[in-house]
Parts: sequence; C-alpha cells; structure tokens
Amino acid sequence: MDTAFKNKKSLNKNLNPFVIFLFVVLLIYSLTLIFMISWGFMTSLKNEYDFHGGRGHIANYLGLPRFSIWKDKSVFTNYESVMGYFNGGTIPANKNYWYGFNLDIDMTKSGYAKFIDLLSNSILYAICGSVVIALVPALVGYLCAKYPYKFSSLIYTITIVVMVLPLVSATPSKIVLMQRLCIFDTIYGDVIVNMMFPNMYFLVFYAFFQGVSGTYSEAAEVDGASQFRILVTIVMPLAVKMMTTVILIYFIGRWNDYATPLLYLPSHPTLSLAVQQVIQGSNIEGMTGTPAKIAATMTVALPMIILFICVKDRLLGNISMGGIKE
Amino acid sequence: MNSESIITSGEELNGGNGGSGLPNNVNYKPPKTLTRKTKRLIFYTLMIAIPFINFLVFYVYVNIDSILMAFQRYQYKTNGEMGFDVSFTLDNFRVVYEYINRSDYWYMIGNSLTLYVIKLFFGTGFALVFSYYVYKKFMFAGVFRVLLYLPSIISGVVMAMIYTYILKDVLPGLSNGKIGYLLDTADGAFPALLGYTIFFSFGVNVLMYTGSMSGINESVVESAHLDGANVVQEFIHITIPMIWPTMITFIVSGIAAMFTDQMGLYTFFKDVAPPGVSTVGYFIYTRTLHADMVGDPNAYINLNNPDIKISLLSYPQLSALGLVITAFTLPLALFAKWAMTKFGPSAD
Repeated sequence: MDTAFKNKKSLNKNLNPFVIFLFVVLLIYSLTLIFMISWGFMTSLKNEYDFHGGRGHIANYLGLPRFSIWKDKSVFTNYESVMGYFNGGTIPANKNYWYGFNLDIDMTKSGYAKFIDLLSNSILYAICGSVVIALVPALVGYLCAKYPYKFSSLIYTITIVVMVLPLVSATPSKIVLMQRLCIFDTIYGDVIVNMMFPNMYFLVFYAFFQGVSGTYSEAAEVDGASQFRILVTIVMPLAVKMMTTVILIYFIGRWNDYATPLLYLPSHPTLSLAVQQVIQGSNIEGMTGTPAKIAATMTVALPMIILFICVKDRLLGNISMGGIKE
Repeated sequence: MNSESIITSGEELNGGNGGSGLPNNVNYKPPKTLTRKTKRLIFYTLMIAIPFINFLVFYVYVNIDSILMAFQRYQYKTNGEMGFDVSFTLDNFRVVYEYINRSDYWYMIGNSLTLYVIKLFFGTGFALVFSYYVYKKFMFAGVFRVLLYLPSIISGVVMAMIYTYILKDVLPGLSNGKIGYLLDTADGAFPALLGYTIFFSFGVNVLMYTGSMSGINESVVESAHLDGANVVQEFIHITIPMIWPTMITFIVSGIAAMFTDQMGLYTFFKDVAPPGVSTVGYFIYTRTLHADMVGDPNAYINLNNPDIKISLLSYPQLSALGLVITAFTLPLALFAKWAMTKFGPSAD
C-alpha cells in the first residue's frame, strides 16, 4: 500500500510539465551526443569511397560502414594509416617527456616523435600534472582547515581574490621566467609551475577537511605520532577518494589538452597535439580523407572513453565546494 | 595525556634533584622538548612554505613582471654581445592599438562579450536546470548525468573534428549542396561556433552544481512541499538561493576568463580563423605562440597558409594588451561579485 502510494507520488512528480520539458530537452541533447560519437566511430571504419562515394559507390554519410568496399584490407585500415603516419617520423619534436628525467630516448636523436613517444608524453604530462594539481590544494586545504593561524585565513583570502581577479596575459612573463630559470620545456618545469594552491579545488578540500573530525588526529598525537605521520597515515587516507576524483578530472583534462603543451612544452608533442596537427594538415599523404582524419581523432578519444567506463562512479561522485558525499 | 603536560623546565627538575637519583652538586639539564604548539607551527611552516613560495614566484612575481613588461622595450644589443638592451616606454600600447586598428580587429571584443553573455544565459541556465533534474533524480537522471559529463571526457579536438565534418560533408551532402559549409561563411561561422561551445560546456558545471544542490537540507525541501510548493517553485525559491554562493563563484570566474576564452578557435582553424570570428582569447593565444621578446608588427609569418599573415607582436606588447584588458575586467568582476552578494537571493 505504502509502496503503491510512493510510486503514484513519484509518477505525479515526474509528470510535471517542467520536468517533462526538461526530459525532452535532455533526451534531444543526449541523442545528439550519442549520434555524434557513434557517427565518428562509424566513419573511422569507412573507406573514402564508402563515405564520399565514387568508383561506382554512392555516398554513405550516415549509414553503417560497408565492409565489402575494403575488399582484402582490414576494416581498421584507417587506424593502421594513423599509426603508420605517427611512426613515420612526421611529428617534429626535439625531445620527449622523459627528457626531464635525463633518459636517453631515440627521439632526442631523430628529432621526430613516434607513436610510443607521443603516448608516453601524453601519459606523463597527464599523470605528473594531475597528481601535483590535486595534491597541493589538498595539502594546503588541510593546513588551512586544521591549523587555524592568521596565515591560514590569509591563504583562504588569497585564493578567493585570485579566483576573481581577471589578470590577462601573464603568459609571456611566465614563459620568460621559465626560460630564465631553465625549466621551460621540461617535465620538472611543468610540475613546479603547477604546484599552485589558489584554485577551485582548494575550496573543495578546505570544506572537506573542515568537516573531518579531529578525534583520530588528536588521539594519534597523544600517542606520540608526529604531525607528518598524522598527515600521511590518518588525514590523507580519509581524503583519498576525493583526491582520486580530482586527479581523474585533471588527468582527463590534461590528456585532452594540446594548447598548454604547445605553449609551455613545445618540443614534447603529446598525442592530442599530434592529432591536432594531423587534422589541420591539408597535404598529408594517406591522411587526407575524412574517415582517416576521424580515425586519428579516435585514437585520442578511445582510451578516455574506456577509462570513463571504468571509473565513472568515482568520477561522478558528489563533488562540491562543500566537500564530497560518498 | 597531552604532550604539553610532559614538558618540564630544567629548573623544575633541578629543584633539589629530589627523587632523581642524582647527587645535589650535579647541575642536570634535561634535553629541551618542543611544545605541541611549536611542533605544529614548525610542521605548518615547512609544509606551506613551498606552495606559498611557488605562489609568490609564479603568480605574484609573474603578474608584477607582466605589468612592468608592458612598459618595457627589448632590443638586441648593438655591440654584438648576446642579450637585450631594455628601456622603459609607453610605445607598446601605441603599437598594439595601431595594430588592432589597422587590422580592424575591434570586432574581437564584441565577439568575446557576446560569447560570455550567451554562455551566461544559455550555458549557466541550462547547466542549472539540468543539474536540478539530476539532483531531484527525475526520469533517467543517472543516464543523463553520465551523458552530460561525456563531452568533458572526450578531447575537444575529437568533438571539434566530428562537428566540423558533419557540417562540412554530411549536411551539404544530404542537402545536395543547398546547405553550405557553415564554418566557411562569415555569417554562419560565429553562430555555429557559439552553438558548439555551449553544447559542450555543461560537464564540470553540472557536476559542481549537482554537488552543491545535494547539500541542501532535506527538511527545508519537505516543509516547502508541505506548504504546497511545486518543483518550479522549489527550484526558484529554495534551490537557487541555497547554491547562490557557488553560482557567484562560477559567474565571477567567467567574467575573469571572458577575454581568455578562445571559443575553441585554435582547434578548428589553427592560426587562421576566418575574418569576423576571432575572440580576444584566440588573438592573444595565437600571438603568444609566435611571439618573442623583440617582435616586429610589420613582419609576418604563417605556417599553413601563405595568403593569410600573422604579425609578430612582442611579449611586452602582448603584456600591454593584457594590462588594458585587465583594467577593464577587474572592476567589472569585483562589481559583479559585490552586486550578486548584495542583491542576490539569500539562503535565509
């Protein structure tokens, strides 16, 4: 009886015109999105004559790939072309990301990046940056929340001010400074510059640590644990889920980012940057057709789609400026 | 036992050495133990020092240097030595003004403002109602939540290319050429790019707004329902006031980023966006990519298309442009924050 009443109440709630309108808009939005991604994947499997028509075939812009057109070739020929293009030594690079670790990789001699270089650059650029960007605001957020000195209030105020201050074009000055410090275009330079606390996630961590009880820390302190040990063994494990979420958000963002590496790591091409160069190049042999170019973009997208499927529950946890709900 | 309670001074211990087992003539001084307060202060100082120094160097110094750079001119040394001769000048502002004037780039400011306003009303508006839908767990809310976040997962390069080729190949192909390639026309490119920007802008915003909404006290919502409030009234009179501080942060941050937003133009067009489409953010980004300390506004480069040129502005000239834009957006952002705090809805 009670369940039936609840169901009826829920149905009434869902049949509100406002809710129905939102449902329709979201449905259209979702279907458009699914169509675009599916279209991209399907097109990446098409032959150029299948897609644009020609040689007796009619154009097939929206349909499924006609695999018979490939004849004896693999349906993944476009992907093979992409790999061949990347491995053909066509993406200029003076170094790869390992350069910052002083490891000698072949690319540093050839001056061109291969697929494995692009991949390692992408992974390291994404991992190093995301860990630092998540760790520093978490640490500073903890210090400000649990050590109520006046300096902590100053840090909090600085963060708020920095977030609303619209300072434009400090990029040239930052590049010049990095060049003077000899950290421009290096992995450690990228890590050092990203050790910044004034950002949105400082507020998220600050709110989170304010809500964490100090009982365990105090008990450990009485038992003789050092402040550092309390941080590592008690506090950080409490925040590890939220840190993982923030790291994942930044990892995905940095994997997809090509504009920042182009500016600050010009001789360390990432996969995203290489793909951007492929699709903008107009006279690249074997990469001129729409399906081949779409296949190139899919090489960047597929790892993130797989990662998203694996970690979507963690990624979509209720993160907010008031902390996180597990 | 509190660690402070075990701290003792040498004087106390030495007071007759009673019970210590030491002869009276031995002046025993126990090792000094740090108080809990001191230990906490040392730890705090050590841990916060590096991030704070980093902030001083890469934010404070960089921005001060950027302001100073706007008034500097760098010239190669004439005596054959390496390095630059640096002099103070106001010339950078004149060069940038003349450059923009000569190239008729003033429309960029209008484009950036249009982009912000459209993003504010449509982007933020839709993000809020979508977040509300997800927060209230209406039909298929879980599925929509995943799909709304999907554009944040997939590279902008990928979505931009799919969008480009749908406009370039699919629409003209299916309409037998009646619909042209929108991104190639002066009238069609900007609206098409605006639509693209808004369509893919919901991800993190929906995540944050939904998170804030989930922090609303259920008893407040229940009592509103008992008073006869429907979902629209709940959204306007309870949800929006409750998440107003989060909205202020997003909207004010948006003003701060108004003139750095590229609208994805570099992804679509690399260095050569069609006339009438550029934003200030795109202009600054592409010029910074090709800039150096000296610059030469009369020298041109173009890596892709020799017909379209990009002039070489110097870092100081770009800093001058940034300074002028900051002078415009700083009061705007501060005013918006003040006005939204003072006149916005209250959680009470």
